[in-house]
Amino acid sequence: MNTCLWCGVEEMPVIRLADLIGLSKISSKPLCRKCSFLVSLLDNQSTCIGCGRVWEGSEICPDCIRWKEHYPQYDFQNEAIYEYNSFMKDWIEAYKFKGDYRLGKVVAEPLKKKITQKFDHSWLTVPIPVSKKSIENRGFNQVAGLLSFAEVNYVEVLQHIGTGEKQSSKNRRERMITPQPFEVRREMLDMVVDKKILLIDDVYTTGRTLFHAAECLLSKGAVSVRTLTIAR
Amino acid sequence: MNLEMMGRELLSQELNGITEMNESVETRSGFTQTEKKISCTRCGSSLVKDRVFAPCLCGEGCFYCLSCLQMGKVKKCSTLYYQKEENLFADINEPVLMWKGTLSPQQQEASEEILSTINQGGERLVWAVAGAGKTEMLFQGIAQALKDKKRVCLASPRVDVCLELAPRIQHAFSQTELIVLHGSMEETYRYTQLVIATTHQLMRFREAFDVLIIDEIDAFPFHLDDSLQFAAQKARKKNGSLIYLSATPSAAMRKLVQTQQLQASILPARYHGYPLPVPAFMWTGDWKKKIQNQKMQGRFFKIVREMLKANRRFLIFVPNIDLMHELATCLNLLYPSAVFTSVYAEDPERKEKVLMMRQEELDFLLTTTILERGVTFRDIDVLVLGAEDKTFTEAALVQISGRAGRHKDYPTGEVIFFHYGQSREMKHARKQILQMNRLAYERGLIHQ
Repeated sequence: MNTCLWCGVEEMPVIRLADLIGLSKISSKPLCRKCSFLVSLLDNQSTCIGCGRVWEGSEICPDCIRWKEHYPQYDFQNEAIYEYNSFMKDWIEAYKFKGDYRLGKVVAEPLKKKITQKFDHSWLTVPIPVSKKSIENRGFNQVAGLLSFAEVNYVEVLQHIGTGEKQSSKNRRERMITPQPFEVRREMLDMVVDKKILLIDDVYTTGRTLFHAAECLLSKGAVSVRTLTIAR
Repeated sequence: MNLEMMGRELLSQELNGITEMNESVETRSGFTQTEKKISCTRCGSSLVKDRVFAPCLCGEGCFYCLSCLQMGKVKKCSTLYYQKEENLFADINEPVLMWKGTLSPQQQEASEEILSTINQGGERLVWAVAGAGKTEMLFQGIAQALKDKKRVCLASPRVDVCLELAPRIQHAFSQTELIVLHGSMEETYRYTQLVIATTHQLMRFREAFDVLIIDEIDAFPFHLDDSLQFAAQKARKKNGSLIYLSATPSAAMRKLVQTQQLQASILPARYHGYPLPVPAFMWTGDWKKKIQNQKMQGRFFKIVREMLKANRRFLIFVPNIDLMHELATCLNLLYPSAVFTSVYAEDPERKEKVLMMRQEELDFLLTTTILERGVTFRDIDVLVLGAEDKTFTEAALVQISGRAGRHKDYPTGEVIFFHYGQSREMKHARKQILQMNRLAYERGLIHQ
């Protein structure tokens, strides 16, 4: 019997013939059938090649054009797994802000799949750091938590030096003028040089956070920075 | 002295800038460990499944409580801050109670019993059928408590009950400071002598209330029982009084009454003096299959047709949302000119739809168990389709039957349980209603 992490309903897992003859592992799904319809995977949709949002057309979206003007040298590309719909919003609220750690499992499998399929071992996986204040309240870094659930190795080379005001409580303009909140940990400076880095965050809203982090890493000698978010 | 902390036990992030920590502030750890078990200090859950291990700054092996996570995270390494309740309230000018109505003899008797429990402390169950007029019986006791500088809380597991109670209580005690506490409140907390709160919010109190009254205790059966009991016992003062109000107390509570371990005031009659409508049982075959295959035959559809013809307005209770939508499709095909809609718990237009029914703009209304209690319509009949379904517990069925015949000008109404095999719960519900009616006759509370 599987218990849905989201709604708590109990349901029998579907066992296929292949499971029985041992061709694949019987996986216990974190969500029940009903709740699994609440997420919207971006994989089978047309998306912007810059930021990963749902986007028709071969050119990058207007937001990305603006970022291009800002960072002409940076060849950015963001992968996102889910559309940021009302379910994702509630999930982030529960996992991150209420601090319900076990909900990290909801996205573990697709996160792992995405990273292992698209990025080989030459990439260094780095979670976006959280402020000291948030970690005191929450007790954990929500992005590192997700990577642990996905069983992906990561190194926390960045640290948060900002005031810890939540991005989520600001409007777009306030977000855009946020000063650089990150720096590379001094003892990890040489881990970054000539490295290809995969930055991970929970949600891409304006892109401000990820561009700050990428800028920080590139200035310390990273050769390439790509980003991946759970939601866009 | 921090008034905002008085009688409350809070996490550090809930202190909202109260930094004045003196010797009167007592601290406890987020989890309480005894020889036998570990339990959350705030909500009391000691279930293993409610303790979730998660990485934490405090080091290895920290966990948090899943049961009360909605109220903010209690971790093993958390500290809870408590300040003793000192009852620092201003004098209230007479009359404390502004309500001018009169009580029926049955209400008057219960009112006096409640008053004596409030004066002496201890616990009491007020078992009053739907439509007995519970709120008014509390006024006398609350008024006395307020005069005696006691702190009084009215709580209910259901936020709608709290929101409905609040204006009535504030009106009756208009000189007394009152606050309503629930999950999505916008007001910030203030120290008041009168508190109306969801039972969830009681977890943030400790030995605060001299009088704690819990309305609709049975609104969420089973799983909430333990945590509700814990929260209630923690929030009341040790020598205070605890009064439970219910139209359908649980079997466990009725047992306590029978064995005289719990004092009870039983009010078997409605204020208008007519007996409770007794549900009729009607076998209607495999109703689920019928509505799924859109085969609109059988006694249920026949009765619906007759009621529409006779211009009777009615509620149809259905076990779940999916079935409700399927039934709505059937009824739409069958009666394209009938005006009706359906309502369920997460329905954003729930309030508006109920209002439309109340204003008699609808011929009938389909609903899940969400309308089983708390709503009053003037002159309606009640149909339950699939009454044997497990969502319809004894308490739910008694409450549902209690929707009919509420108004003094329309004191009767039909209640029909359509089923595909009677359940034990259905029979018990009917038995309970008959018992209450018999008791009302014996006490001479029925007019006819």
